[in-house]
Amino acid sequence: MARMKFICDAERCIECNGCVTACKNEHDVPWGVNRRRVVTLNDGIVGAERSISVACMHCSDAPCKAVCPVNCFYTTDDGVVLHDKDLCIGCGYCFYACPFGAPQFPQAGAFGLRGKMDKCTFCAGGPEKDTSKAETEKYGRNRLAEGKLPACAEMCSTKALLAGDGDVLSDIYRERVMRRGRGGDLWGHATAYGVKASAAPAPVQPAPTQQKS
Amino acid sequence: MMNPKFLLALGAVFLVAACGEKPQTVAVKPGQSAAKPDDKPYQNDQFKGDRAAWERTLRARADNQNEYKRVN
Amino acid sequence: MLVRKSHDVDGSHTDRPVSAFRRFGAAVGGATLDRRAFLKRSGLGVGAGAFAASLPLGFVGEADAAKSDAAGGKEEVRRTVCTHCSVGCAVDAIVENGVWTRQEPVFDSPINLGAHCAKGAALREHGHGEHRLKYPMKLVNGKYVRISWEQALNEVGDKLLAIRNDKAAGPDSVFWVGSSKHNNEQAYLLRKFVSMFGTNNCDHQARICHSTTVAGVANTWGYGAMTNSYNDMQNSKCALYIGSNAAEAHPVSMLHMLHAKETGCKMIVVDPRYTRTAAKSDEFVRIRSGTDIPFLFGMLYHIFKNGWEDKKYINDRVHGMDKIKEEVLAKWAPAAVEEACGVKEDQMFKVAKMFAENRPSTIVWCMGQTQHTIGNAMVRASCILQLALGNVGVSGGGTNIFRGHDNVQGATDVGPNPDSLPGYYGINTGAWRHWTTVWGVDYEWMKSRFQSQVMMEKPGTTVSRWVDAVLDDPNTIDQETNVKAIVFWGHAPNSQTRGLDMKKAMEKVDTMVIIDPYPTAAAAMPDRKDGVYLLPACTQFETSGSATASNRSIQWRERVISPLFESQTDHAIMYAFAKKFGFEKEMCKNFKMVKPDGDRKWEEPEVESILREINKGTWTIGYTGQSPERLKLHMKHMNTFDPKSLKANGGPCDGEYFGLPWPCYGTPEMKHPGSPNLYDTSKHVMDGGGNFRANFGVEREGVSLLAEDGSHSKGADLTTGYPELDHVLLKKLGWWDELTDDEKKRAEGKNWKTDLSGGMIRVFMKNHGCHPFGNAKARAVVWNFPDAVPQHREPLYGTNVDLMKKYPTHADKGGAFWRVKTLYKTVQDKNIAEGYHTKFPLIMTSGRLVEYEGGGEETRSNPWLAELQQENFVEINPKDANDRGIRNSEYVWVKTPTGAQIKVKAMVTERVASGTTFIPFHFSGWWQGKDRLEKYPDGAAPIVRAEAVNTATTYGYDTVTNMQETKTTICQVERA
Repeated sequence: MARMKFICDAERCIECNGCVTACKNEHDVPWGVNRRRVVTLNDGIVGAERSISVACMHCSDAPCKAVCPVNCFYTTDDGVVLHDKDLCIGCGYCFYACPFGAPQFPQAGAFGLRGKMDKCTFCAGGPEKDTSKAETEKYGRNRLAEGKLPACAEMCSTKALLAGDGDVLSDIYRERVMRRGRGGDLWGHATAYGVKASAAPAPVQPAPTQQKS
Repeated sequence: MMNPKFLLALGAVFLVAACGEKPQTVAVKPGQSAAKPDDKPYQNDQFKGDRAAWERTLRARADNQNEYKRVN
Repeated sequence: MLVRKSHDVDGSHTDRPVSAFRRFGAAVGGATLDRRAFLKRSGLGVGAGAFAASLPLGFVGEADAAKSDAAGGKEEVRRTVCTHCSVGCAVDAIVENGVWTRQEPVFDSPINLGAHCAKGAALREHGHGEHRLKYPMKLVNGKYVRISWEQALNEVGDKLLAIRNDKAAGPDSVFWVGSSKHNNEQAYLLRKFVSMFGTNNCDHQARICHSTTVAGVANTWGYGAMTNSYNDMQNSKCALYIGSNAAEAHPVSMLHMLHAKETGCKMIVVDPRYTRTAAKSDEFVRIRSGTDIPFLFGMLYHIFKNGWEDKKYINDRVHGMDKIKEEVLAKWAPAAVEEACGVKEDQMFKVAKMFAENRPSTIVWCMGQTQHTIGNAMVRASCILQLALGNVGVSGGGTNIFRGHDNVQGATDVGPNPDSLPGYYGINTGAWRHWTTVWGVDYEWMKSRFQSQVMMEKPGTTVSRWVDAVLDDPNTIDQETNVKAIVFWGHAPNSQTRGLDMKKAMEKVDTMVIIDPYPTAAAAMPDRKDGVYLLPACTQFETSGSATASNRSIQWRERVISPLFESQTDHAIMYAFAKKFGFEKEMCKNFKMVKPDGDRKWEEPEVESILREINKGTWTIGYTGQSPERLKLHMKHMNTFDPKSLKANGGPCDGEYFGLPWPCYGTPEMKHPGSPNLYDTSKHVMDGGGNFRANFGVEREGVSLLAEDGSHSKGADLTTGYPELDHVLLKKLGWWDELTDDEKKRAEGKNWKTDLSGGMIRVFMKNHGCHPFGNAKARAVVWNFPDAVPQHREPLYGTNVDLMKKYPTHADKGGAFWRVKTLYKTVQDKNIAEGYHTKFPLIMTSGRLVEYEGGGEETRSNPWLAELQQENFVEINPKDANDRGIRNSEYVWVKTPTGAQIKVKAMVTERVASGTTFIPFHFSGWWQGKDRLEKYPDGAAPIVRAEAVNTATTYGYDTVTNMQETKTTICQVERA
């Protein structure tokens, strides 16, 4: 059985933001709502800079799900964490619970009124009928039901961001690690899925700054 | 932090008490999703309910993320 | 972090795309799902909104995707290629009832394997074009008003004709800035169009992109292009990036590089900044801006000292390396290198060793090397390094020169260059005779279009210098008088230096014409009341045609949608103006005329027939074999090409290289497979092999310039060096009779570049395995350049006076240099005398951001991209910031010796060393602290407007090509 995961290979991520705009494009996500973003750590520090693409990781034991007061989240058979916007009350608890800062709340009108939560769906839509107009309007495209993977990963410029069945991703990543002769830092992997990627040795800590100028 | 569920329930009680209308809350059962049931991603014209076919398609698609399949 | 924002900046000036339901109810718009629908999806919106598309203006009443269900529309897939850089990433556009609704990755593409950067992944926004220029407009009393196309053509045409027919001005008083974003057919047609208008005063972005590369590299070994390919870098054992930030400028190229790294390739990045590319390197070397020659020769010092050079290769295939060795050993010992570029001996040694011991090794350079007053010498120093190591003409080696725009290579090859007709034929009598024959027009008629034969054969001025052609004393300009009208046909003026002077020039000309999908910075820069016309052209997604990627592969774009709003294709506009000027019959003699959109749009020359004409005439660089049919076949069977070698294995394109990378010699019927790596002697010429070109004579100072025996391409019948092919050589060799009778007739008296039958090439290549351009040595010494041996010279504006005195610039040039006078010593001496280095103690350099492209008008109008970079900024080291009391994210003034000051945000970062600042160049719309929103036509201003770095850049031009100096100048930064 498929278990959908994201992994981001920091050895390859160049912060080109292709994943960010691929998501915007595929789902017509408006200005101010970011289902995915790229974070760069130690920016400009020689030897220590790393970039990582971050969105909802579709955690195995999703904290958002645990704190939701209306229980609007559900996990599909394939491990994708989705939610029902008809139930969401926009309370924001999931945002505080999420270790990845994934939930987004569109500002709606005056007084900073918060809209219903929006987040990465792993390109799997929501509870409405798959690929229906209603689903697309509320959640964006449903690529999984079309036999495709999330647009962000499919379009990643360096194939740093990978999406799909965890076993397949492990195979892809393992091959790279073997070629490199060393692992990389699969940032967030343990937090989201509770285990380290099978092929990944201990995460590489950012090297100490060698050349601060 | 106060239990959010408690707060919500409290709000609902007041609402109901004030107006006599039907409750505005969803029935929350701990640990169980209240979301509408979702289709399986293979229950459509393309995959006709064949989960294995859908998984094969996705696996093949995932290989596109591995350029080692085309170049070494 | 300052520049990655997920929420709005202060709302005072941005004209945001999705706020306040601006799209609601408007006929334009065109997003497939707007904010209103998104809020509705969140349960907070009002009213009902149809998914799919609200229709762009030009479609109302025609296509109707809005009515179709998201799931149920009729889908068509059109294969196109991203227009944002020279990598050439393929995209499948999904079109429903004429509306571009989705885009899918093309995993089959051997170039990008489905991958995209931010720009490529946001391509579909071109189908919305909300901030486009929607109809022709004219500046009336300081405001843009809508006019009809008919009025626009008549008024603009009359004004340009009046200048042309004015005896005191003439055709040379109109300057045409063409575009590297035109496809090959449009770029080619524009050169023909401008010729028939009667001038060589045309240019395009290549001037300010890689002109120094093209000149330097072509003069070294034959062709001025990237020798290998992005893909071929997978075969490298070591890659040296110097003056290239590929991770931001060519992100998908990094797919190949990072793959190569995993399979053992070392990566060295040399740059004044610790860039995103540097972050992926094995070794980062920080040099002082503008000191590429000391660095490269510093590497050569260790290479020669340790005997790492390839002696046999140098002996067989290189001329003049002894002179280089002498120079390097005498001048560039470690102490001098460290003094000039700031790199210590141990790191120089380490890098030289890494590069020499891990062969084949490749070198990558971009604007960091080309945009200097000595750019032509810097690029040659890079070539020399590669020649010394025997890395050229080798898979995994080469000079991988990453070009900028999607078709800047093609526009350089066949487009509007001031000193050449298509195919680098030049503009002497022979070149004009060749092309008038191809065009089927009378040479004498062509000559009559120009002011004189002298002007016909005199290179025009350059896009970097049109400002001076407008402002200078007419007595110092090498043409009748000043330039009086400027036409920007797909060009962003904010990518040019000296904004203050440019604004003056824009205000001085009689007429400005902007033909572009967007109003561009040119519409909003001058303070004029009238005399500006904006004509809407469409993008490459609204037409079809071919584009040449950096690696010389040519890809065919299918048309995705029909031209939006009132826009027309560029070639339709050229045809319309040709009619107005009265030479449309001559211009379109060989073209089939078509109306792809019926009566809704204009008649235009069929793109395929333009390409066939290119095929018919461009023998020099092998643009003859890439017929539209062959290119389309490659696009259809991308999956059959190997992403490492680019070669098709089986299938209908078996044995050919993807996109038939030029040179693809001979007729299409000869089936040359294209040349994946130039000068590669390990392959037969009919398999894309080759050798260095014989283009500089056969002898110099008693020494032969031809290649030594045995260094010929695989299987060649001539195993010695040999000159280029002409009818005399073919006869001497006794191969003339292998031509057919018809070929003999047409080839008589011709050479391989002018034999329109292609017969001589066929016999020479196919029957005898020889290369039509001969087999000679590459030149390490280019005796026809100002510095035959590349010399380091400090920039005109520098911070280190001692070094400026030690490595002074060139002497001033007179008026014959691209028609305008060009200063060097005068400026540098004055700067030293004025003590500018104390008033402006920081080096200012500029470069790219991944989200934007070029002048940025197009990408800053795309909300998906604009959201990611909302303000311009200056990178400044924490020490320099603290010394000036500057905190991160505060506004600062950046001041330069021109008197300009620009207001940008401070980004306090260790990316730059103390003493250096960096500003991205994609912004425009502000002018010295003020937003000029009101200067744009209503609704057509880009979403993000900010200060252009080039408002503040200074004077300085390359001594060969007039390339502008953008990479090393000086500034002061102060709190705002």
